[in-house]
Amino acid sequence: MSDEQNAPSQAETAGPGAQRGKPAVVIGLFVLFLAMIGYGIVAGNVFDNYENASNL
Amino acid sequence: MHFGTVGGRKPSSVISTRADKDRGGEGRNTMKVTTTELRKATQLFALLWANSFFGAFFTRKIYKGPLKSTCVPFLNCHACPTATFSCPVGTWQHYMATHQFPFFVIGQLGLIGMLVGRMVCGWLCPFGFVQDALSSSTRQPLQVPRAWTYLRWVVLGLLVIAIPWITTEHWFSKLCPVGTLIAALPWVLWNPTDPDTGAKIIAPGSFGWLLAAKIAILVAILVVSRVVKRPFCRIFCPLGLFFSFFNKVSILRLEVAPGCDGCDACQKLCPVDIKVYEDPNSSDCIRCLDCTSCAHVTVGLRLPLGMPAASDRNQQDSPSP
Repeated sequence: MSDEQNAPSQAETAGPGAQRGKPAVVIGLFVLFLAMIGYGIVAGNVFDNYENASNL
Repeated sequence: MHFGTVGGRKPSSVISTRADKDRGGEGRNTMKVTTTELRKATQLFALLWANSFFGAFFTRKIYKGPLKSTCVPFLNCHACPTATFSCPVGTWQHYMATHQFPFFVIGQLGLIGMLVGRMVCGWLCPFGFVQDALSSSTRQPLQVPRAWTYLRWVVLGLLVIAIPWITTEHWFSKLCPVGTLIAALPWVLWNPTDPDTGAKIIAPGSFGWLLAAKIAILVAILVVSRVVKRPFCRIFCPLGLFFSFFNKVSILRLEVAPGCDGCDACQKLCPVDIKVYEDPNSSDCIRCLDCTSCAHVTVGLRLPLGMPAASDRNQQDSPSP
C-alpha cells in the first residue's frame, strides 16, 4: 500500500468535535445572513445614493 | 468538469471538458465545451446583465430606477452609463460614509458566499475575465509573494471601511480600476451634454490628478496581468477577500481523490496559480472549476444537515484514468 493510500482522510483528521460543530456554524451563518437581508429590506437599508455615485 | 453526486457512486460529469474528450470520456454525457469557454460566456453575460440600460444613450443620464437599490455580487461600477444595478463595494462604502451598517449588502454577499464561496470571482466578474484574457498562455507566470495578498485586508479595512467612515468619501471607488474601465473612461470619452442643464456632463478643466491616478492604476494592473495571473483579484480586491472567508464552509466543495500524485497540472490550469491538491478549498480559490478537467479533482455539494461529505464518499472510489 502506498503512502498516499495510507494518508489520513479529512474525516479522520477533523475530529468528532469538528464533525458535530461545523453544521451548526454553517446553519447559523445561513440564518444570520438571511436575517440581515430581511432586516435590510424591512428597514429600507438598501442603496439609494447612486445619483451621486460618479467619482470622476 | 465532474460534479459530485449525493448517492455515493463515482461522480458523473455534467459537462465534459476537452481534456475528458481527449481521454476518451466513455459513457459520459459529452458536450463540446470546456469549463473555460463556459466561464467566458457567463462572464460576458454578467457584464451585459449588469450594464443593460442602453436607454442611457438617449437619456444621457445614468439609470436611477428600483433595480439600482440592489447590487450585483461582483465589482461593477454603478456610475457606468448603462449600469442597471449597484456595486456591492460602492454600496458598502456608502453605508460606512453615512455611519450605518450595510445589513442588506452583507447579508446578500454572505448568503452567496455560503452557497458557492468565491465562485462569483471565477464565473461572473467581468474584470476577472479581462485579466484572464490578458494572461499570457505561453509564458511562465510570475509568483505573487504570500505577503502581498494581505494588501487586500488593507484595501478592505482602510479604503472601504475606515477612510469612508472618517472622511465620508468613497475612496476605494475613486481609485477602483473597474470603475475607471467601465465608468470613468466611457464618460470621459463620451461626455454628452446634460439635457437638463445644457452643459457638458463633465465640465472642461475637471480632469485632474485623480483621473490620472486611476488611469495609471488601471494601466498598471492590465500590464501586470500579462505576467501575473489575476493580480487585482489576488492583491487588491476587497470583495474577493470577503468571499474568500466562505470557501471553507460553503456548500459547494472541491475534493481531491486519494490517487492524486501531485503532478501540478491543476496549478497550470488555475487562474490564480494554486496547487489544488494542497488545499482544495483554499481561500485563494476562485472556484472556476478549470482544475476539474483533471480526473482527480471533483466538485460536489455538502449540505449541513447530516449529508455525508463528498470526500467521505469518494474515498471508496478510485479515480478514473
